[in-house]
Amino acid sequence: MKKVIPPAVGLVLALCFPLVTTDPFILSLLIEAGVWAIAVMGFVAILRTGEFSLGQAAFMAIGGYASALVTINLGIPFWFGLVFAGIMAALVALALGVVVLRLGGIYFAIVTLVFGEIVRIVALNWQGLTRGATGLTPSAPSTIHIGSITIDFIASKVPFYYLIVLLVLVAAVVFWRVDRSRLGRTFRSIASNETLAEHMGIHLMKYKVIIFVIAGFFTGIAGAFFCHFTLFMGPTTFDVWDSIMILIMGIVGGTSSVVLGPIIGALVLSAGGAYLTSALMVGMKPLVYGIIVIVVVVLLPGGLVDLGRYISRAPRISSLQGVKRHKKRGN
Amino acid sequence: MPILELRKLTKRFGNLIALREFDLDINQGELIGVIGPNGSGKTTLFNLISGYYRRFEGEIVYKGKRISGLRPDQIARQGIARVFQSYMLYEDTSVLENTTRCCYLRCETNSWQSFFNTSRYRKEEVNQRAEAEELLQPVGLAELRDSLAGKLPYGYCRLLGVAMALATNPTLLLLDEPMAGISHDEKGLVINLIKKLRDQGITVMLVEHDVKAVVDICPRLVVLDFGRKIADGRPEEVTTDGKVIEAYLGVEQG
Amino acid sequence: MPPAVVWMDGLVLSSIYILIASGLVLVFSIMGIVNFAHGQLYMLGAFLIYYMFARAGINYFVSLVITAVAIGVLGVAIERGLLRPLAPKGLLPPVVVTLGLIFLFEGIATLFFGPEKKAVPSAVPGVSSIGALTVSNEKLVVVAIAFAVMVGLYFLVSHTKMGLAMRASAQDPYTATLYGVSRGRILTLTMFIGCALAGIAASLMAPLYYVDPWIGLTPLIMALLAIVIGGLGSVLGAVVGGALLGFSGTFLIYYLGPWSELAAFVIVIAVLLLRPEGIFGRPKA
Repeated sequence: MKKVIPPAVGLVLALCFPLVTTDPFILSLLIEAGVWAIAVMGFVAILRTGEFSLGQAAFMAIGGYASALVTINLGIPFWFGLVFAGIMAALVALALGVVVLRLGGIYFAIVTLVFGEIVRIVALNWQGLTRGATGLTPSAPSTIHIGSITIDFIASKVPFYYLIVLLVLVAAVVFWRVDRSRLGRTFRSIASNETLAEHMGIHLMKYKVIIFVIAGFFTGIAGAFFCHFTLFMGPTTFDVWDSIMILIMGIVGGTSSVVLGPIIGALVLSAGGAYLTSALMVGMKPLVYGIIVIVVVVLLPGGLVDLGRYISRAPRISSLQGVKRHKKRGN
Repeated sequence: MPILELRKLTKRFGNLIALREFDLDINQGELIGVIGPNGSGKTTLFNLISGYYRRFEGEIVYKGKRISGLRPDQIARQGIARVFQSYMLYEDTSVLENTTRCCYLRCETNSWQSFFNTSRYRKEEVNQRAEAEELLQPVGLAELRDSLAGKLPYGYCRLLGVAMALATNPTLLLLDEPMAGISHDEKGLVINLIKKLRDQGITVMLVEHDVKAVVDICPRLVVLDFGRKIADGRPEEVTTDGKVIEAYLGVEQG
Repeated sequence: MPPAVVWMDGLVLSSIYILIASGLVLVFSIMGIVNFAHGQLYMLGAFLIYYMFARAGINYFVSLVITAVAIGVLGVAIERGLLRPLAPKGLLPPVVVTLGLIFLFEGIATLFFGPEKKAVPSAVPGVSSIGALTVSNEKLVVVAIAFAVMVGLYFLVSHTKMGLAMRASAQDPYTATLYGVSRGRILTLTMFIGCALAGIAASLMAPLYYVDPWIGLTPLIMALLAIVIGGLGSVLGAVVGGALLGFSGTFLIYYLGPWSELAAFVIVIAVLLLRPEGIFGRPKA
């Protein structure tokens, strides 16, 4: 029971936040952080099977385009667009995963990195579908009327805020539940020692693909949400740099934690980063990000989550080391 | 019908032929030792049977079913378990968690039930926890259940490996050099363990370098030399076979 | 059959890819990690040649050498200062650091050099005729220098004592130390050579293209693909992979236009599916 208290408190705080301020700038910061938090949860989930995906932003792009296209061209409501985005991203993850997860290790990392570039190039050149660099302009969800309550997504950012909190919550529950269940144990077995896990009856590919697809699903939804929030979807909305950012957020937050680490990482870097861009010169943001990553890896390899544990004196886990090493080739 | 049939197994690594047209039939409940000088292909043989190598020539038939080329997890599901020679543990977690993870094949609830934390799943988890603890008893590791597997001394690692293999409810157990690197006292423990396994009806195939120990426990020995089977029979016959002596010691000059 | 000019462009592009990929795979074969910041080192090399040659007017070839050495030294600093201390913690921390360096260098470049595209003039202006083909001298210089450098590299790796030490350390670092090969020195040397190669590639490319803080991404991706096709750990594989990508890239651009990169990606995936270890990699049993 004790374990439920911190997350419950966090949730209450998150829900009450708009009562404190409805400053659109701050809300936007948090909303963006929420979007990235979901993507990072997916990245960390994949990482905990020992695989390193450098292409998660590509799934955000796929989700974004899927939802934008379907809401603009077919007039489908936002809510279905969101689900459709998740499904499309999941399908692509399935196709890609089945083909490239068997490669594993550094090959998988490289291919996912390149995949991100490919999505960008396809989006840029398939003018007929995506309008190329001009991009698409999806609209915000239409106003909802429930009795006397009106939820207006255009007038204020608050409805978006609550929606992303809900989405983060759902994603968090799913990823957390997966981690706690036998699936999670199986993933940890694979990450710890693939050969052993295989000899104990675990079908490696099946499980790696499963988590890749689940991650893809939520990441796609996050991307779709984002484009309906910013009202724009273009080839550079989510690119390779973002995929690396997701990784950085994951590492900074701490990969030993399935939910809290990603959320912390996203908050610190996304919200913090947005502040930096507005306050400081161009170029400062990537510089600071780079410094933060290096500092975290060198000094606090378990991420900021470990800092919390240090303060509460819980056992520290340096999960960067627990993750599978580069697969040894040869006999 | 033999439980395991190996037909003309051949494994090449480029120009090196590690295993040459190896034939073997093993019957249910047998305790058979495979010996041979270094590099004779013993571990390669296990790698073929357990599915670690999947490209080779020849056939492997287990309980009448062709298993050549299957993945290790599929082979494990057939009932073949392997205890590795070198460190093959989940080093970053506890001894108990190691055996718990290996109870994977015992699970009857599926992933959905585990995700939704159904009562049947929870009951199974509790049972498995108990089973995992039980598995540590026969190898004497019950007291060390919370120790970090990566920090175990070598002898205990080997014993844990046996417990983990047994977690999969195997009908055929492949023991890779069980006597390697363990002390004299521990050898007795291992020999007893092997005998107990045989008494339980598990077919045991072991690969070993320590010929003396193997001669005492195994009623049947197979000798490999340069990938080829050169003898197959009772220990008394095999150890006095000229070809075998030659393989180990070389031909007498003069 | 594509026209000769496409072949020439393919040769030029291949030259640059080969240099970058070889540098990357050298580092990988010794250190066991992929230096994802390799593309940024290339980018910094391009800025160096810009400031020295285009702005300060220093002789192009002198600038090239200085750039190569400077980038090599920068690489060594990274290796000694960040990668080596982190090596005991596993393979993931150093790789994550190199990813962080991508951002770090992008930030530094944007802040100090500015985001605008900068042009570098031709090192050897004018054109020459080869048969019926008119080629810019610049492109000939690129191919010639790349060829010379690769030949030099080949001799270094296969015919010198230093190269032997490198190969020994790549195969079995511990045993190599038993034979007097200091792993630390080999790491430094290899990093120097690998990064210098990136600097050379950037210097060659600069007059043909432009310079800004983001030119490192595509070369990084191409280098990664090249070494993946060629087989991780094999320099020959990097050469072949680089050539394959360079030529197929220009051919595909000629035939498919902007879809060429997608086609290249599909080709790479196909190669990996058929032969997961790459052309010259060692297969898993």
